[in-house]
Amino acid sequence: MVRPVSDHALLQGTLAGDHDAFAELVGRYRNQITSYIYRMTNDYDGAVDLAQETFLRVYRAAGRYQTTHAFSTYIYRIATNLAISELRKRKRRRLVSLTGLLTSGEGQEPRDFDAPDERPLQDISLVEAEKRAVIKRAIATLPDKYRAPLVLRDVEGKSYDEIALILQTSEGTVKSRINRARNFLRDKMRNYL
Amino acid sequence: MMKWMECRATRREIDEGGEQLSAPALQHVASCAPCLAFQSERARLRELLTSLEPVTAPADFDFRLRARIAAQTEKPGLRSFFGGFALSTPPMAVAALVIVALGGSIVWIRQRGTKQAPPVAVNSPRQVKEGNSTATDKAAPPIAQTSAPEVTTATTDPTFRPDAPINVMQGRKPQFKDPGATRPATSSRDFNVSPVASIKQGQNPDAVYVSAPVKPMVLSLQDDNGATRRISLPPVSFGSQRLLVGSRVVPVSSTNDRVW
Repeated sequence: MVRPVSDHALLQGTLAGDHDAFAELVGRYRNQITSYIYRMTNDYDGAVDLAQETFLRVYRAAGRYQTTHAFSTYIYRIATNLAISELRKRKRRRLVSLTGLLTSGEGQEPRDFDAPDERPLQDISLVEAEKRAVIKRAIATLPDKYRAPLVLRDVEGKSYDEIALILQTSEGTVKSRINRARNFLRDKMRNYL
Repeated sequence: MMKWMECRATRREIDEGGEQLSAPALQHVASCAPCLAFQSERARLRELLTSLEPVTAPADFDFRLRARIAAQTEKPGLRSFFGGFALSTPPMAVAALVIVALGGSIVWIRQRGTKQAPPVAVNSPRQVKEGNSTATDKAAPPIAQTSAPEVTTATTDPTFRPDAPINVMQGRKPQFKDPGATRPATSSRDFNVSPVASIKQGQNPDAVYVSAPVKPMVLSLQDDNGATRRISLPPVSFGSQRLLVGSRVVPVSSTNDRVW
């Protein structure tokens, strides 16, 4: 039985100039990274571009990689930073933001204007499509610091300690943010729960 | 109060652990309707989130990535040399100032060299052959333009004076230097600034001075024995170094050592 080559070994091979090793790494993570960034940004073309930028950074910084953490943690951290940076750019490009209008209280996170859909349900297929659209929209309207842990946990299935390593924060903070994000989504998708 | 704390602990466990609850939490959920609702709500929400269609990378993902890597590794030297330096404004401004200062100093040095040796008279910046050397007069603008068909160039000989008489010495050739052999043909000297020494009629008893003929002239010479030699002199233009060097002006010798 052939034991699969570890990510560390593949990265070492990449560092030594083995292009096949890097291609294997890309093959292992391209769908995960693209999906994760897409859930964060809700823009497929931009997500593909950022996923490629993620692999580019891995390739360029292969020599600086430290094996103290898992490679998946490392690459997800790069992808998270790129996605959050992209979200901040979008916010700056926004001419008028409704964020400030829906601040419910001092010290609370501002919320974008996204009223719940009160229309009656239609055909099943349309309902399913609409449901997915609502979920995407609800995730997209989450504040950045809640969005990343929620996607990593409930969409990507990462453990709390790994999320804490990716986001470089404590495990307690991760749990708290995930709880808040779920409450936020519950309010958004009340008709589908 | 006790029930509220139990609810809080159970909901935290539901939120963190999902469906794998401890026995006390399961017992509490079974007896607490709000916590049961919370559990089903969270399960439904998790189900919704995981029901999203899978997203995959496009088929040409690897190809595009390889292209980007190749594009970035094409200029590694340039990137590593400039790095973040090239994009920052102050170093760019300093580099621009250095370039402008360098260019200005080159222009200043060239203009200074031109002022030291302006041409006396130039017809056009075309190529002028002087002896064996060839030079193109481009740098120095012409001071005096003439419409004469003959080529007029600046001389490089500081002792040369256009209006000076020809020095005819016995057994000696004219004291004209070959400008091409001593210095570049483009260099010139303005004799209005620094006059040259000239030998006038009567200063040297061994020399016979003849004014430069404007038209063809016949010169008769008589030696001590009464023999007479007649020499035809072509018109001589002192404006052209080429004519002088090209042996069209010949020394007039009383020793008859040359056949005319």
